[in-house]
Amino acid sequence: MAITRRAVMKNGAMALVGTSAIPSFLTRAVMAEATTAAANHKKLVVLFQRGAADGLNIVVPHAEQNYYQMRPSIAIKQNEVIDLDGHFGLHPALAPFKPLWDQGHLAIVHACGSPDITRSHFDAQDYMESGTPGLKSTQDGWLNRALQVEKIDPKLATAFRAIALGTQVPRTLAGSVPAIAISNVNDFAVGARQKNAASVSSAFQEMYAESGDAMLHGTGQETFEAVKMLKATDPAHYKPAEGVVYPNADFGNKLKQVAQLLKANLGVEAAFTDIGDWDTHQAQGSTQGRLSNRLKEFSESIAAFWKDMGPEAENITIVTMSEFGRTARQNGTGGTDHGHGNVMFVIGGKVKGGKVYGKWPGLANEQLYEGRDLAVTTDFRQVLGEAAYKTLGAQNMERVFPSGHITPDKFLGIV
Amino acid sequence: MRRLNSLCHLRTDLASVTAFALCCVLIQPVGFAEISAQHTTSLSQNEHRTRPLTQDEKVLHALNRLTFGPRPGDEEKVKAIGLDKWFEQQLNPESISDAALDERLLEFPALKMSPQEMAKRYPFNNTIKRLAFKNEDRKQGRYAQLPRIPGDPVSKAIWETQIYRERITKGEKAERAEKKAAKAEQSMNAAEPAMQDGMMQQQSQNAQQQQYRNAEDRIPTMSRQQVQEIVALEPQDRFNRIIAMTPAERLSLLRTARVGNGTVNPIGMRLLQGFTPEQREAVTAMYSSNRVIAPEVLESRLLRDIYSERQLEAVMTDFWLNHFNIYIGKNQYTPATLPDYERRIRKNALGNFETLLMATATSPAMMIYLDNYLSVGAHSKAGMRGALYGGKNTGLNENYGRELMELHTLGVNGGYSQRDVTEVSKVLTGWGIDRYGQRGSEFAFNEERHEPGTKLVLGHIIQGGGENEGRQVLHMLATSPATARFISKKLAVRFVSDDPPPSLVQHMAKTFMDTHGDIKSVLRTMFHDPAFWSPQVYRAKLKTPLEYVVSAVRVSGADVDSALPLTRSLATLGMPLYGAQPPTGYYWTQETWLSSAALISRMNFSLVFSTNRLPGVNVDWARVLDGSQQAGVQPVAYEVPSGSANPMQVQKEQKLESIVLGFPASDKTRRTVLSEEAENFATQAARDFKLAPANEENGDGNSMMSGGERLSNKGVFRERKNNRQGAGREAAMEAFLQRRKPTDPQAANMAGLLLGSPEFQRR
Repeated sequence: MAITRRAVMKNGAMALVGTSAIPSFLTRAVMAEATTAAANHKKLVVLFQRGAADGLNIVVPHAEQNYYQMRPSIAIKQNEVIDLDGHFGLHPALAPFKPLWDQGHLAIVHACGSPDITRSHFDAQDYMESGTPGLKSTQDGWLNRALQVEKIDPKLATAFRAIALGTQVPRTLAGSVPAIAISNVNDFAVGARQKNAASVSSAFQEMYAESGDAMLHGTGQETFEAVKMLKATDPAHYKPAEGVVYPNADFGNKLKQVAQLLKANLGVEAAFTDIGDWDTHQAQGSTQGRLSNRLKEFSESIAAFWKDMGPEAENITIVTMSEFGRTARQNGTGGTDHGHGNVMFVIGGKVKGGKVYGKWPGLANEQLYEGRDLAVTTDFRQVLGEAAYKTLGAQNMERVFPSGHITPDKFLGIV
Repeated sequence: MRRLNSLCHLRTDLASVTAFALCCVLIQPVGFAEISAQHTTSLSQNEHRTRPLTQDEKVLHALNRLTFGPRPGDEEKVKAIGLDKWFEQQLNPESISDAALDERLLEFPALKMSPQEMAKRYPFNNTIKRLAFKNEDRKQGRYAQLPRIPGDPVSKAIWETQIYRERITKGEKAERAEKKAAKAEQSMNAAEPAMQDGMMQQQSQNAQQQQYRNAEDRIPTMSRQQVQEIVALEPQDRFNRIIAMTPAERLSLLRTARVGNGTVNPIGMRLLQGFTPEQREAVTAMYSSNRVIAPEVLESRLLRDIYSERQLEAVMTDFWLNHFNIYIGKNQYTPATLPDYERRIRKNALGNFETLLMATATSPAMMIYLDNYLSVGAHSKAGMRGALYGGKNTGLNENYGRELMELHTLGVNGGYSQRDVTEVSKVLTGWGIDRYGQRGSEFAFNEERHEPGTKLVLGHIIQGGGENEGRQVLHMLATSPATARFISKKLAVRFVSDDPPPSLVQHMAKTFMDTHGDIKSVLRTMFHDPAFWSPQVYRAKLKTPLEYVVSAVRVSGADVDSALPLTRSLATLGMPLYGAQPPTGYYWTQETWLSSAALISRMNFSLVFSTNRLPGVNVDWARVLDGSQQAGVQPVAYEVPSGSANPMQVQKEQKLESIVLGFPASDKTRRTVLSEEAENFATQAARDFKLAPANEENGDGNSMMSGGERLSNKGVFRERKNNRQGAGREAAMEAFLQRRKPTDPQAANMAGLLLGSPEFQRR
């Protein structure tokens, strides 16, 4: 896949500019016409909670008697949840989400997950990212395929159509559409901060440009094109919108940079990043503690991102996901083990929020999946599919989720 | 749970020094060997290559795959011994002297301590917290278990300084508790000399007046003059003086001299200068135990990879440490378990798989990392008691039970079910540690927690039999054909190809079964299989960041005074040591490590490293070039490109290609290396290569994480034993403080470009 992943703008307009910075007007002009999503400025942001987040303590079914019986020490009490609709309530650490809910920008899908029953982090993440549960041979990620659906002139494609904040391109974005991984926008340069004529960047670029090593050649090309484009946006001087403060932690910093890249008119259509440490086998806590700390950072970062995007937030759809839920009962060590059904958030300008979507399977003992987990009533691909369809214009669902039988009539009507 | 990033919640003192290596770490995807691999060979430069390897290529290939990369002259040595004989030597590490490495490791006496010794000298932060706020502790009814401060003066100084730090740095909450504790403190420290300089008053004034930026700022500074007086003392007197100080003075001194907080600064270095390793550790640990333990764990591991003559053992140790992954940031107790864990693994790295598996299963490190020490059988005595008294945390935890099968033995498709996971977890209830939260904890089986009754694992009935049940199950797993296949495949991916031929894996798995898991024999089968020497796999494996960094250091013959800048570089490159949070560890396949961000970091690293801009790492290219001549290294012969600079440069370049790559570079690479502009490059790269991703830390106030200049727990500069005396030491330090200029800037720049070239990214 890497050979096709390389930057394909070589012969495009931008290549004419050579080693100097690309004027942003040119970037914008090129991007404006390339794809439907770009023309409409639509952007899909996918956030992965790695480690299997405990959906039952995130969006709490506080009307369920058995919930409290199964979780004697870690349940969120009825008077502690942020009530949403009399049945569900948010974990108190998700307070920053409440305004988004009230404004109708935040929708929740509960009892959502994969049809595959694996409880292996590795497999479950793999299936969720490939978008083909149970099928290991899939080579690319669902989000990359969603971008593949629309045929565009490769000369007009930008290296930044798909970005990931991190050191590697995630599985979700692997595939033939060029995707760029950036761990830190400010460090994304090879000696390029100097206006010196002798540019390290171009030296290495030459080496990689003619390398017989196809993989390295491809990644190298992609890298240097992206470096140039990013440099033109002057990333070092980014300031979030007035009054916006991102939590000074990994996830907050990543979302800040996503905002920065989205605002820079680089032609980003899909962005991906992740937040870890949800694998709360022990001492996950209730309103305070490990899960609570995670949720605080999670929700504060997303709320800051939303605010930072300002009017542009209208065109953005954010989807959150995690590989599976956790056991309905707390385990013997104040935590929860690997489970099944989980919760997803969908946030966006066009989202019909203020509602918990999906069929609720109940938490009575006989309603639990395999007697231990929240059952899955909504396939995660129904949610991702709708977001990709309506945000990116990826109408060919069979292409995005091969053999998934995801058709528009299965969408929940969230976006 | 793969590629979890971030550790942003490192608590308290663990954060202090390990954080840089851990934070912002992305551990990445694509373990799917099966999936990604098809591309590897077909897309690599060897696409159409069918010519068998020459003898020289075989030697280079063996060094690239079975070691962390050749040093100058290694190829000649292997040729002299003979490839097969060299391999057999490497299979038997005890036959190879490792004196040079051992001497370097003398710098880390703490790592050689028994858990009990370590317990006495380097307390956990939890212990310190309790001692610091004794009254609160007493309220919680835990007074009876409060640990005692050891009596020997050095340990006592460490404990008391840490206790003092805890009180001062822990914010408003701490201040309240501080007042309460003040009375108790007075009686406790009655024997100590009165504080000098009115430091106490100064401190409380500061406390009121300042808006503290971080917790460490709560510590009052010491006057420059006072510090200089102390620094001017002879090492032994200086150490005695520090021991004789009050905890408050000591803490102020440490803060003012910025000892061990990750910065390079002359005062900090001078304060530690001339100390024995034990003294240096003691003074560094006075702020926090994990300013010593965690960085030394990382540093010693990297030094072994770089300098061990037992390279195959080092490579296999790394392989198993990754296979049986432990995350150093799991909790504050983990770093102290790692020296023992590393020894267990190394001892069995080339031994028997079942013994190795058992060594990990009975290690405090693993019991803690995968939570098994917490697991309690519902029907065990402890479980029943817990249920009776409404105990919260008394029940089964499946974490280890699952990963043991999925990741350590059978593999994810190894034919087990959820039911097996639960049953194995029951079998392993009671496997844990004796005294959690105290240094000196060892593996222990606790019958009281063990789930009684028979279990059914993978169709086998396991009779109720306490600890022995677990041993039966581990034996069963270790000797399963699925395990043989899983391990063989993983080894083949590490050593041969991202997509190893099934026949090779079969041969290895057969040997595994035939020899009851003898790792040596499995490697021997691999080494003698034609697939290992196939032209398609030659130079086709992408180096992981660890392999990349270590091979660069080895090929340059660099002298590493402090390996911490290198461990931080690994974090920047996405692969910090002991930094994989998910139990999967890191992946060996190229898709994991091939991305724009990673490539940029590699290029910047290569130039920064090569031109001596990593503090504590000294590359002397002039010496390397001279040495290569003596070792009989043949320069690469090529037709000089037209318009090339001067013949001297060409000559050097020819040698460097031979040393760094071991084969001719591509024309384009060579032209770039020879370009006249090469000299300016490194300064630019130095600006762009940040040691460890920029990351702010919250809470404990060790603002040591960002910026290219900061590092090291011991002020970077450590003299080796043999030059500890005399003026040479002083001069060496001064030279270091000024940043050693490359001995041959031209060679350094050219070598840097070669290290960043596409050719050097593969092995």
